[in-house]
Amino acid sequence: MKFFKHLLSPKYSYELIGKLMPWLGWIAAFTMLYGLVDGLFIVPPDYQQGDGFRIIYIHVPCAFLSLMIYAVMAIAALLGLVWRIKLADFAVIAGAPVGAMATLIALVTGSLWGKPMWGTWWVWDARLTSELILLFIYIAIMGLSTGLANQSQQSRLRNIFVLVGSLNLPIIHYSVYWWNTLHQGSTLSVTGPSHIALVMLRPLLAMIIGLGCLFALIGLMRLRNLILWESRKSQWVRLWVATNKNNNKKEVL
Amino acid sequence: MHWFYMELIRFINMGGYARYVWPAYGFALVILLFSVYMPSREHKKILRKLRKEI
Repeated sequence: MKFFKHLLSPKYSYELIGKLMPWLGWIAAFTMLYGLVDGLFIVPPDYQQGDGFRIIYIHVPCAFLSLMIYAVMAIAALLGLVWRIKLADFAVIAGAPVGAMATLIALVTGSLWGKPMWGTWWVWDARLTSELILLFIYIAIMGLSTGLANQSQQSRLRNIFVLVGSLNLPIIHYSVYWWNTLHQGSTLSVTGPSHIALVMLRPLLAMIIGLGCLFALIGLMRLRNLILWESRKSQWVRLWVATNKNNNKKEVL
Repeated sequence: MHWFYMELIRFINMGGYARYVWPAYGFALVILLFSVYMPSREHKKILRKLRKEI
């Protein structure tokens, strides 16, 4: 218990995030570099979609991660509601814009993929509509994060909203099976074989890991800012700023 | 070097799908750069503010 208390202290989590950031950045850079070179240059064109299928390497990772980010936020919302952990409330606030960006990229790249393959930029089918609703949910959470009046009550409201919104996740995932959609079924599967050739799968997994690390990095950067601002009056921040006063040029991020 | 340019042009053309593939990656790049830049700017802003106070 003492260990968790230590882990949740603003000072420790701020420092831990600072240590994690370069690692996430480098892993993201290398895996994405490999994924892009392999996916865009080396992998042979698809036998039906030609080179157009290469949009998969940005579309599928972002779509997948848009759901994963929400799942992480839902867990944080639950922790914030049940145990009143402030760090969890912050994680929800920090995660919402990141999830919104992932969803936006998934929607736009999907649209750019749909035009040549389906003949339309947009169609109101279940998968596309539920993913669009996810974007609106993210934006609503961002809206619920702005006001500062009565913070704890607002956090409760936001966390409840996040949990209710998580009902959308299974709808997005199963939409391609429950309804007759234009969108194809899942390419990747954890429980069974994936519907993709191994050479095409390798860069896809690399892009998922790379973008996952990048989104984690962005989320943690936002979380770190929230922690720093929230504890600006505390002793450790004063000390930290005072000792780092002269080397502000070293601060890269 | 001739083959290199041939390969490069083939790559840029994306088998005729260039106007869908490149905007998709370009859009993602812009959004991602923006997403990294914003919190890093915010962090510097907070530190600057705190330095002034101390």
